[in-house]
Amino acid sequence: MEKLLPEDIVGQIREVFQQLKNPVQVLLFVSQENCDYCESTRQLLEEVSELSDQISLSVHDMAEEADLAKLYRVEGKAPAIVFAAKEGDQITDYGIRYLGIPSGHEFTTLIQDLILVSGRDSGLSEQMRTYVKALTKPVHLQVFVTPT
Amino acid sequence: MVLAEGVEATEFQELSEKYMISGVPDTVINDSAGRVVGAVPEQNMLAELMRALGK
Repeated sequence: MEKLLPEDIVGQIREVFQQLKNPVQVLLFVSQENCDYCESTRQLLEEVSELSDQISLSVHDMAEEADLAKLYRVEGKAPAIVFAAKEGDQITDYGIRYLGIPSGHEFTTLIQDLILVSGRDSGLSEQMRTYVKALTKPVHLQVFVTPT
Repeated sequence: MVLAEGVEATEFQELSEKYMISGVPDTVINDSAGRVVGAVPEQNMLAELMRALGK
């Protein structure tokens, strides 16, 4: 199969990934039905995760692993990418998801999400941190984007 | 407590239509309790979260 990522990009990413401090678990949820981009997303994530030992990728079928999909709140949203922290066998979910194939301009989002989770810090202001810590009810943020 | 999803608008058309997404980025907070169109400074996002969710 032809690679999705050009060689020069691969080199750049490998270098950027030298800065990854801690392990990241990427969980990709795919579906056999109604998912035009599931295969490409899978290939893209495989190629990216190969570029660092800090990144682990697991691929899950929505139907076969329905309980896991429910746990990660991704039911019906294939392709769904979960970016989680990994410490040994322990996976910590920060609630970070990308739905769809992260292509075009969104490829940078993919790389930045990996770096963010690996760094284990949001990089946000004190004020935002205080506000979020004090939240008592769930918050659902949906940021709509396009690749171009 | 926080679920933050980046949603590729063309692949998730029903969602895009539901929230009438035209320009991106467009951030929907709690099913339209709040909304931020465009890329904004963190302060603006915080202000809208506070407004939408209550302080």
